[in-house]
Amino acid sequence: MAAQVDSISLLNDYPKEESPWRLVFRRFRKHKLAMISLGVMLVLFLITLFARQIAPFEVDEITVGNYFLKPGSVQEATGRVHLLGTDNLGRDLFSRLIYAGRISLTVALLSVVISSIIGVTIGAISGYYGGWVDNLLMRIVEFFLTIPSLPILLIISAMLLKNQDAIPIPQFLLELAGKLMLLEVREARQAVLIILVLAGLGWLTSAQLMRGMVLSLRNQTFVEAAKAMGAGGAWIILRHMIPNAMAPIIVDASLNMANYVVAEAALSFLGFGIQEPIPTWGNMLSATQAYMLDMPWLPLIPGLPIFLCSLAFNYIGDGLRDALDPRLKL
Amino acid sequence: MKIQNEQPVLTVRNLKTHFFTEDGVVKAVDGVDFDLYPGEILGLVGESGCGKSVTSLSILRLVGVPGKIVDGEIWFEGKNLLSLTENEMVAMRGNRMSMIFQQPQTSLNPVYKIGDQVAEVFTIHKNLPKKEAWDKAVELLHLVGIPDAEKKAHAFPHEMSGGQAQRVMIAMALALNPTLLIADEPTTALDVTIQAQIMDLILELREKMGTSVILITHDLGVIAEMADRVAVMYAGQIVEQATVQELFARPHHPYTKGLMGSIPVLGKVTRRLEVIPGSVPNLINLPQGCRFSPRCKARIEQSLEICLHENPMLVETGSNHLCRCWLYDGQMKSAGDLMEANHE
Amino acid sequence: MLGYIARRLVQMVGVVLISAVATYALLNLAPGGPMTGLRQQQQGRNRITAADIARIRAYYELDLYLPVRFSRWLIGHPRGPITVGGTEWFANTPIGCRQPIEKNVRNEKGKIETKVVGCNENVYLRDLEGRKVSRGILLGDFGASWKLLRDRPVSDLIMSRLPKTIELIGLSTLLSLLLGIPLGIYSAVKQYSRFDYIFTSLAFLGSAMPTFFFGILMILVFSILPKSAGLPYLPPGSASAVREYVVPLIGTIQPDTIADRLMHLVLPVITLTIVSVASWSRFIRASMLEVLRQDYVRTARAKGLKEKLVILKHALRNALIPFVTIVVFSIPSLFGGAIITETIFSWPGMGRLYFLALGDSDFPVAMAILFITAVLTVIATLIRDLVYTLIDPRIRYS
Repeated sequence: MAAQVDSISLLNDYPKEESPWRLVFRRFRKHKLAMISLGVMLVLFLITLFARQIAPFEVDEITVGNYFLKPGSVQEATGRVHLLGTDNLGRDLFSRLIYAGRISLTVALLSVVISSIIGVTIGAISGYYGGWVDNLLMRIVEFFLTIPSLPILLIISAMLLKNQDAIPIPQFLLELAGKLMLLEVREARQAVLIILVLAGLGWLTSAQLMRGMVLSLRNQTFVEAAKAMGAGGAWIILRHMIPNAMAPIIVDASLNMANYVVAEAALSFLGFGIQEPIPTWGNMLSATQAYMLDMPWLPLIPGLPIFLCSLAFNYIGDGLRDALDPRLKL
Repeated sequence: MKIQNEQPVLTVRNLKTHFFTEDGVVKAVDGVDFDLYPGEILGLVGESGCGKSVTSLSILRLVGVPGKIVDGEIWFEGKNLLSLTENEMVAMRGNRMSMIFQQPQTSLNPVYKIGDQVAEVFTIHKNLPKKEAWDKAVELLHLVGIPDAEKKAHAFPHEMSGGQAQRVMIAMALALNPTLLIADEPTTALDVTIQAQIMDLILELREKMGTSVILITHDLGVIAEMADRVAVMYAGQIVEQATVQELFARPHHPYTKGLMGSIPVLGKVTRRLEVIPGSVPNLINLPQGCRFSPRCKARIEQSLEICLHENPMLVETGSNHLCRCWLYDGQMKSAGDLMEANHE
Repeated sequence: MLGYIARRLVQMVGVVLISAVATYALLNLAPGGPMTGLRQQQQGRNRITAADIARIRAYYELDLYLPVRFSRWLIGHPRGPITVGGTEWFANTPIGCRQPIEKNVRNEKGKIETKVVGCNENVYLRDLEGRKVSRGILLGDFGASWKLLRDRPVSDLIMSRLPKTIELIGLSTLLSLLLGIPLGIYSAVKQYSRFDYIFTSLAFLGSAMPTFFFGILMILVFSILPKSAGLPYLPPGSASAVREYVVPLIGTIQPDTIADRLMHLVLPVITLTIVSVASWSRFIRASMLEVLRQDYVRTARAKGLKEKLVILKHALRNALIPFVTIVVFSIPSLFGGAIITETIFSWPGMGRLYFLALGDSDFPVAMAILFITAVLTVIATLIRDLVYTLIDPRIRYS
């Protein structure tokens, strides 16, 4: 009896288990570049959140005659500084960059949220119920994943944008999007359409991920137990499957953030996304092309933030993957 | 028992293999000594993570990054393996010394025919032409008891059962009649009936070829059946070494006793099986003193202070019997005898 | 095996048909079609008559019912009454409407909409005789372009652009394979080394870099800046020059010579190559690391194989298996081109054609490219599955 008590006291010498999220954060902190990226993105989000307060000029405030001012130029009349200079119409590039960031980041963020929700729902249904529904859905997903995505993205957004007034979008959605992106309601329509296109084509990988997770969880004991206790499909999916599948979904979402920032920029760059005069990093970059012969620094102004965001979200995704599932580490 | 007066074929001294990970240095093997005599089967036994597999990979010098052999000597056929060049070592592996593994099916390359995989040993070490090597391979497959070997040689690993795959692995390992065969849990992944067949095959080939074998397992039953001598490993060190009969009759180390207590014995009625409390220590932060001390009931019963401060040496505690425990240290001998008496 | 291929071919035809329907649906939903603007002109001074509209409608086959139109677009039929043994059948079956009756209706929102409420004059099957008809897209006839080369066959446009795309994509795919595979292998084999560290960092940067920004940087660094500094430079765009030009240290280059074409090829090829080397070599590295952890690699080493053989014979063969998918799926892009790169460098290939077609609302051209890309993707899927049976003995289809 004495020996037994002792063996229990022996066990107490072992360190206590950490809570899983603390452990994740501890591992994430080790990934220096991911931590730096997280910091950079927080700063960028804060800047764009306070776009109105930080931007020294209005988005389309035109100063006649002050075209192509060099970075750091001072307006003679008012003494205000154009930190990054002005564009071909005399608009302040720094201010436009901030407003553009607000739009680009919001579009990417909303697209990620929507596409994750769609992906998780479809993946969960597909994996949980199986059968012909699963078969059909996954065939469609596979097909769309194999054909090159950019041409489809382009043609759909080209058609939607040309038809934009004919597409019914609830007024309150437009107003909400307008508030989020500091746009007027009629301008917000374009942004909403782009979000719909990005999310509409972007849910495929999250659906595949979720389906895989559901399939592997379906036969585990806690799910069997829940079933035995009479829990319904929806309950099991919400209560047991989704929380357990969170890790890869979060990683996928952060990598998708990078993809959507780049995709939105690419669409705007090619002229099939959000159009001038609404500023986005993509259409600003496109506009600089015409003048880069004389002002070679000009493309860097809108180009670097795109690259920075893409890089940062990739690093964050990388760090999260390492932290959430060390087995996935390459 | 075998001929211990002969020269050992393999001598391992103070072998230390450490893994340099982000979290710290994992001392997987930390000062292992043993000898292996001609034709002998030495059982290396211990819980998973005690360093037995790393010991065997160290002998073949197959420990990959971030692992590194940091100290020690491995004498084999008159050479210290740790001072050979990589090319000299390559010539040894699969030729003078070879190894079979726990998962025979995944240990065979899925994209090559098994005949080719066996024949490869002849082409690389003996420069045999392809056709001749293939014929030899078929012959070997026949020898290890693969039925219809000519046809089966064309099969791919996924088309074979686990037992057959292990036979192929054995054929490959023994192709060039090596002096040393290391069998790392060769039957753990197999069905019980197949296990016995594979064990018999190893015993039979040992007799035929006179190969010395290091048999790594966590299964004391396998040890009792197969081995001539046993070394028990715990947390990167050998804690007890003896002949099979001696070890099973008179286990010395509290850990060995724990291992044996946790196996049901046919015909013996006990209220419950003994368990060793706790688990294998973290190999990065090893306990000070004896590595087993945090889990050692004997230490508490005997209230030994020294165990918590100093790691004991592996010393002779009987005829051909080595043990690493303060209970058997010189002045503590009486205490050890006392405990022995208590136990019986 | 043959049965499997046959089954797959049938499935493929199904997918191709679905793609065709989807393409056609998009094509018909597409705004900015040939009739755009006609209605506005009706109100203007140069009023076009109802007969004009009927003619234009007939020209674009808008006077036929949708299934008939689709069938003629897909397979080039029906072309007129069916003649069996000298008798014509179905000659008087109505297949469309020449002059619809339109009425302005007030909808629930109070706006006035024009709705078709009936038909003044039907089109019958016999009327199709002698009408111009394509052979159908299934036989490679994609009809005529709306804008880019008005009324010329889409296939002419495609054929004039295709060689340029194959040249660009083919060359960069080849280079990417030649560079990406060895880099990935080497980096995996030397994991944790300084080379691996630098390589993975660069590859990470490369795969996070948006192509359009990278392309612009390339133009800046290798064309604009050196040109203004009087150094040798590369031309920033197009596939060949219009007139001769002088490059410092290299000399005068005549337009459309081999030297000229090579000069123009360098920047787009490098851009595409770097982008795909970054992602391909990362893929190979990951796949190789996965394989190097496998038991059979340990066996190969325990057998006494030299490390070089372990890597090249036992590991690489397995590591390349998943990579086949990536290589096979670059076939469709060999046709479809690289939209962004070709656009930035004004490379007259398929990608830029697609871009221009979308910009000009030339949907027959865009749809043809999209449709062929989809078909090639389906074919690539079959090729991939067949290749897998050859290289991976674990996979057998029956």
